[in-house]
Amino acid sequence: MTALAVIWLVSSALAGASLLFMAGLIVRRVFIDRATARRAARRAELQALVIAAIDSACSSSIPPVTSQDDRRILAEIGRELVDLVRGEDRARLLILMEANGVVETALSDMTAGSARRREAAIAHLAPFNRDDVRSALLNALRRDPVPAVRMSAAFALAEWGEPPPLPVIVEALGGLDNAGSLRLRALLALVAAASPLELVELIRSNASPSVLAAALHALGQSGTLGAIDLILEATAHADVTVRAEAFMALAQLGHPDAERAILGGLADTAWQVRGQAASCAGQIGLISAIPALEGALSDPQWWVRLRVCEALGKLGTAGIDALKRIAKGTGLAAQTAQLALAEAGGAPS
Amino acid sequence: MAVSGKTILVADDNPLVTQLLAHRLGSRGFNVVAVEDGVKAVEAAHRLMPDILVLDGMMPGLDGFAVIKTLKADDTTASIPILMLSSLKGEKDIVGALNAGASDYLVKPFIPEELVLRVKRLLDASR
Amino acid sequence: MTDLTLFSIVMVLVEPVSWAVIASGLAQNAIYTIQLLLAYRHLARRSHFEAADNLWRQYAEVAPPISLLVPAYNEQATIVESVRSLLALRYPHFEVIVINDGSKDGTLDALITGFDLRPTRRSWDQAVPHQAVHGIYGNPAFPSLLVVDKDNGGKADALNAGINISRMPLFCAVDADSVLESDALLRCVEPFVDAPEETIAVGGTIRLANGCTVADGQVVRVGLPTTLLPLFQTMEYLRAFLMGRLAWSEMRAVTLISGAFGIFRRDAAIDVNGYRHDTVGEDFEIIVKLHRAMIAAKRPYAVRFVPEPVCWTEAPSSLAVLRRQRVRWQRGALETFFRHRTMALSPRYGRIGLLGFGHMLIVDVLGPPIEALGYILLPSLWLVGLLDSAYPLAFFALTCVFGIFISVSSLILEELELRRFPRARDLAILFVIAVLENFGYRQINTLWRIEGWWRFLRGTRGQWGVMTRQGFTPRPADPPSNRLD
Repeated sequence: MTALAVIWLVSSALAGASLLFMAGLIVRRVFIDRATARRAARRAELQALVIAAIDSACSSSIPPVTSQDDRRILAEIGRELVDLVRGEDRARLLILMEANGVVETALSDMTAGSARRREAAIAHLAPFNRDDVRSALLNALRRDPVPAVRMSAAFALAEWGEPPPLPVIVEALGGLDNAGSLRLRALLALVAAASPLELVELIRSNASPSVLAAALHALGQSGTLGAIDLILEATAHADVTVRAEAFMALAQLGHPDAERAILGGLADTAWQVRGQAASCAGQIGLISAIPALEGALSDPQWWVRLRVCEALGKLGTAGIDALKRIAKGTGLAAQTAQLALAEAGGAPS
Repeated sequence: MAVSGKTILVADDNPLVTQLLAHRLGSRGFNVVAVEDGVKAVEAAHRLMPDILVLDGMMPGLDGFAVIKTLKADDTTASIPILMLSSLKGEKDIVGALNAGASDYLVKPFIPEELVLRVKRLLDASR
Repeated sequence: MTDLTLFSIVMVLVEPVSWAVIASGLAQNAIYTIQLLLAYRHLARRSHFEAADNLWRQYAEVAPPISLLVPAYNEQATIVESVRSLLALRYPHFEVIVINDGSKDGTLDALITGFDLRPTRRSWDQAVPHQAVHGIYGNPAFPSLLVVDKDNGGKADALNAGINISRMPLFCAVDADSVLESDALLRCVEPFVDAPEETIAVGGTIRLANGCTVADGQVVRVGLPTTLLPLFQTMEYLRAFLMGRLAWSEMRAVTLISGAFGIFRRDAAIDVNGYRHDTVGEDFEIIVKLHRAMIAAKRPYAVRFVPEPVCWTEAPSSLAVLRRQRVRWQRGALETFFRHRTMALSPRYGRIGLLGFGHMLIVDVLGPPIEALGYILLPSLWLVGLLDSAYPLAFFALTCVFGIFISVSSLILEELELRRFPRARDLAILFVIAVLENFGYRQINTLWRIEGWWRFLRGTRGQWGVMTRQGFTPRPADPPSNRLD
């Protein structure tokens, strides 16, 4: 075969394939459109029934739902309503869903081949704090091949206030290398709220800076006052992110002992830490830090100066007076103070 | 109090919310009109002069806060009481909405019965 | 020079040039094939599942604050409505900063009246250079809106001012005239949530608003344009974003985030001194600069891309405006390529130097002249009887069919993952377009790219570094007959 013939052959093959794919795509689309329309109609029907059924004043109930597809639609509606209503309505909704086999369908979907379906099943199961659901979620946390699904399972469990033990989570997520992830940090905060000691142990375990920072964040978010000494210790850690995170945690805790660390923080070599220390002083209302904050108003980093102004603004009359006093002078500090006062709309009465 | 004949305008981009409210308030004798965005809310408020507006915070096109400001800036609609029903639960959002002229604020997830009662109370107060 | 010597020179050149044309064509096709496979892999392995309420549930609590930076130049007619719909985005914590870049019309007045703004003062960071700021306007009733009035300096300059004035850890650069999906920020923030330390920039998919129904600053129904020119561009955008950028994301070598929508970490942008003024391709330049700085500092980092459409923009519907846009794109690409040429194929710059710049070299730098040469040379050789018509014809057919195959594959990606076109017949229309674009549209694009090359050469010699005192986006010369307004 000549080169020319090969080129033409390849061209025709590609052209044929293109036509074939395109035809397939269009036929597929027609079927999908029909299925989507059917599902939307069914969903509208069920949705109206559910809305009526959860109203205590209406004595209506929904006709028994039997097909798996209908149960999935019901689960979807229920999940959206759970995020929307609380109280008696929510309780009635959950009973209605359980009575119509939504939980069983979702449980069987937990072993589905499609990760999307498993993920949806976890979302649908999350409102049902039952033993069989818990073991299914734990199973997904340990064994699901897709990290996002494992993460969702961990969240569902943690949101019940009963997170699995930290080592189990760590193993399921393949270690804490990605401790910077804000989702993982939120998960750790939920763990800390239920069992703060696990986080304290994590900090003591000589973890890497990003893990330390995440643990400090979790302790701050969960308001674990017992960890105050550990957090104060972290304000002197060698790593910048850890120090900054420690001040954020102190600000969250609002414990007056933070005073001991704040002066050091305001004089830190890293501007991120100085800024967080200033914010922390404002957040916990540390009037005694005003002189140090006044000094920090001439910080070369604009970001620090902004945080200092915000902090002074939060410290009541004493703080505002300090700002006004400095604004009368000249230089960087005065300029920053003037702008801060102008932005706050003059002096708040 | 008599609720029959009272018109409630519901603005929310989530059809589940509007359907839920339409059913709940409708079954209590109110006349409910639902719209799905802020621009339509402003337009419907002018056209229908509802007795109360139940307003979502985040809607495409024109958000709830902007709707409040638009309605309150206009003399014909300034007196319509507005109940904000939003998933924004920050202090800034709640205080901001009340400052802008909302009469009440409920955070999602909410208790539907509570909403009905608050709507009734707002109607009583505005009479 | 006698006719004979001219003839022999041509004869000597014919073979290498023909080979160059063929090699360049093959290389481009090879690149597309690889991109296609990578894009499929990326979508197959994607791990997040995107129902809108799911997004809010997962990210609302943890999403970092974002400043939307909106440079505006002569946007009087539409700016208030655009800003209104930006303020209505679904995102837990953001601010909108409109930067009036010395507009000659009433853009600033429209904003002041529209939002009842008053001059305010605000302390801000002088981190990156830009033209003088005259005033900042705000209204306590719209706490998340800020309008900055400054001297004209071009889009890059306006964005720099916005970077300085913003106070959030992330900023999102958007065009004043583009329409955002209300979940745009929520969708694109994911990489910043999952890897906040590494992620420095995220781009989103841009689609064409032509033919879509737009109401109150929202695309309420996706549709196809009804005229040929925007239809060709619809197909181009589909390919570029769904296949091209996904593949780059998979290779971790994204080198372009469209100026119409991109989220950046503020500190990273400041570290590279913000946007450059003296280029027409500032959106491209800043990404290359970010890569360069991060690699030089040996810091682990990521530039990512999100496949869901988040931003809708009106495509030029006249040949003249389209030509200006394409010439500008080509010039911008060349400016950035040559400014950072030391990165090209340099092992020090890893995948960016090798893949990113290698791709640019083949597609943007060498591609257009070689393709043009092919179009001129092969038919003329055939005309003078030096070449058998069979080969050029066969190669042309192969190129066309391959282009169609690539387009069809992009449509498959679209159908499997996004399915944004509402009707099955839209797919058929796009298929026809994928065939038609090979006869005329493709060639005219090559011509424009050559013009871009020419402008670049003249520009570098004559007016290097001269500030462009004009708007950023080529505005349609005639009143656009679209449904955007």
